[in-house]
Amino acid sequence: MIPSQMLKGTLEGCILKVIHEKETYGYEISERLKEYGFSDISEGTIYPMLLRLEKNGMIAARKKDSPVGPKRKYFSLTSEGKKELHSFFESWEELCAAVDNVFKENDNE
Amino acid sequence: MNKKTKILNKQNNELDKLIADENQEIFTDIICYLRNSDLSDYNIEVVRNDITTMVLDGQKRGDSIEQVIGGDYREFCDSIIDTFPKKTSVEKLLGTTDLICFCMAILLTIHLLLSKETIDIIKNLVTKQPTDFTYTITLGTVMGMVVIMIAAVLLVKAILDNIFSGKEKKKPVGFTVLFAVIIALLIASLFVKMPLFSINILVVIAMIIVLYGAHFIISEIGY
Repeated sequence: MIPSQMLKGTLEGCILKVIHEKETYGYEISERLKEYGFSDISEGTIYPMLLRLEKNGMIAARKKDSPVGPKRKYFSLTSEGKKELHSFFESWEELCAAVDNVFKENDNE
Repeated sequence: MNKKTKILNKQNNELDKLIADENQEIFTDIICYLRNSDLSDYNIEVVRNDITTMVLDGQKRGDSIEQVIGGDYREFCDSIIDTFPKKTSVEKLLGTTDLICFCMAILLTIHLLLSKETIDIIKNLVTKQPTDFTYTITLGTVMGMVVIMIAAVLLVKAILDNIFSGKEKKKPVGFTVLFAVIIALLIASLFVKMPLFSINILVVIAMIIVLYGAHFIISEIGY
């Protein structure tokens, strides 16, 4: 299980990536994240993040009919969101490289 | 509550009826916790609509509210609250004024309907006796109203502070003492007959109308 503190900073970027793949809704996003290995994710975990991303203009929501109940909110990426996703991935690669270097160097000693 | 909020509120009330009994308690706790926060009435209804849809979708899949939300309800609610801007001082002042106006309007109406003066006035008007329209406000009346309003606010706060404590809901000693003090003050207020001032009963009715009017206007503006 990934510790929640470590998860917090990265989950928003991953949510943006999942929404970038296709227009989708909360439960589907949480299921996709589980498939990618985020084991302890529920719809309730990502809902406040979706709210924040929508408020900050990274994603846009529209209501669509659901086959099982009331209308669902479907999210798609805005141009701001695309920029944010790009910038998140750049930062992530930088962080990964730095962490890898730290561990490789210590393993060689 | 403005028109946009009222429409959403009505839709949500209909959707709420579809929440399964086993999910109802936690669902109500979540909504109560959000209502007591800094969220505006409109944002509460938007969030309520989202959560209701999430829970109803979960029910269709056979998931409980715990599986949908993830178990830590307080953290879930606090994360939602953090997403929205805090109420400004003006919005907080409007909220408090609305609460006071509404409480006072209700309490004054009850007091007016149950008072000896009102009964005497009606009796005299029916029997065509000379009628005295004077209405006396006693220290006990004012004391009772203030105590009831403070008690209501404290009671709601105590319930909400304990809302997600599950089976280990604790009853703090302070709460019991406070409850006893409130009851004692309420009983005492019944016996404090010292008159503060006397006014025409029509002025009291006008005051009640103004208080209800103020509550209605502030609610329509929204805060």
